[in-house]
Amino acid sequence: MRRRRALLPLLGAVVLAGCEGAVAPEREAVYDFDLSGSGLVFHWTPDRLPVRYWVAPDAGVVRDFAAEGIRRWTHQFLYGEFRGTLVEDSSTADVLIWVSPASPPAGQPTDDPPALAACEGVTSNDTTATGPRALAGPFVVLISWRSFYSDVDVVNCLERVTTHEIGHTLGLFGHSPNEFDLMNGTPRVASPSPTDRTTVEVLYGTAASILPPEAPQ
Amino acid sequence: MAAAAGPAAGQSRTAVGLRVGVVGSSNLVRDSIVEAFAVRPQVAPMLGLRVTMPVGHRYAVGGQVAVSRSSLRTVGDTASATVTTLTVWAPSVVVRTSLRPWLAAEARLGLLLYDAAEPQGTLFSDGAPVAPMLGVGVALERPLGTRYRAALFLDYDAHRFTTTVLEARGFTGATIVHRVSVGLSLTREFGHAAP
Repeated sequence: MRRRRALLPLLGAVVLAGCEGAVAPEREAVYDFDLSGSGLVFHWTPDRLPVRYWVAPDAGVVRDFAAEGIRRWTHQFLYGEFRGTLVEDSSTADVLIWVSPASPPAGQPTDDPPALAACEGVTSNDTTATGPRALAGPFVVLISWRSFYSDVDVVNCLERVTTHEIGHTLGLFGHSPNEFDLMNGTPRVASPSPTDRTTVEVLYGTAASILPPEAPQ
Repeated sequence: MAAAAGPAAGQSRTAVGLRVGVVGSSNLVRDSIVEAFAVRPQVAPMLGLRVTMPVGHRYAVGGQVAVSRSSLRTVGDTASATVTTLTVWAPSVVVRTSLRPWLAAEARLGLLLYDAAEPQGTLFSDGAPVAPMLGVGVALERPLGTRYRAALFLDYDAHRFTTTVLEARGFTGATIVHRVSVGLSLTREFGHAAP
């Protein structure tokens, strides 16, 4: 009997401790992520992961920036809502990344102040006209750069813009008004900010109204 | 002789036991992104190995290592998804006593180690702290011959859970995780029975 009584305080301690709990931070989307203010929302679904990115063979350093950009966006998600990977075959890709002109200057990005006009990017896609609304094919990302800027400025710009455009391919179709967010229309940083993170978390917690395209065979 | 004397006599020998069962866990994380959801391991098969030595007439003290493996899933009202495959190691020190010839009780103090084998999110990307664990259990026992005992066990343990990434992302406090395991054990006793 004494032994059984001795176990009671232990059991009671763990049961009472069970009243505690971790408190999760609030997450709110800080900027719009829908398609041109239409309210239509796209994000990749678990059955389509990892998202397959193909980078043109003559894209040079952009291939490295794409790999790093995928990693940086993947790292925003606690529970694996998004993953991406590079593939070699464009016919199996969900995202095609082209660079113009080809073979941009090589080099490592620096912390120099950004030359904002040294490059730019555009991400495009179409949605199906009939049936359930879905993407009609792979995203196409076109990144262009200007040769009259210094190599360092171009490399720095390509890193920022490549990571920014990858953000669009996750479904972040809007732009942030905050200049320190990666998804600002003219990105000055190369990694997603806490605001970018909470916005993309909310996007992936929102029911999608645009489905992913059919998986390439 | 041990069979005739029952488990109390068996406890005067060193015992090595194999434990097989299933373990269920409460939520590791409760989160809310648009809608509330929980993150918890699915019910997992469990395998354990235990060695105990007699201390006095009625007690035995020893060590146990148990391991379980299952999917870690997010579970919400409208959506569920697999996060990763989670292996949980639970080494512990065990103090065991017989309440009746057929009933044993025990307390455990140990550690919980989470190992996410194929991390797909960042929840475990910077590792999970090793968590102290407290547990209690009971077992219905039955001797099998002179050197073996079979038992049906029911265990409970609790520990605090958080990860480096959760703390960095603004989660405050830690979740108390409750685990219940049930299964069968087979124990072999070595040495001579006490007089």
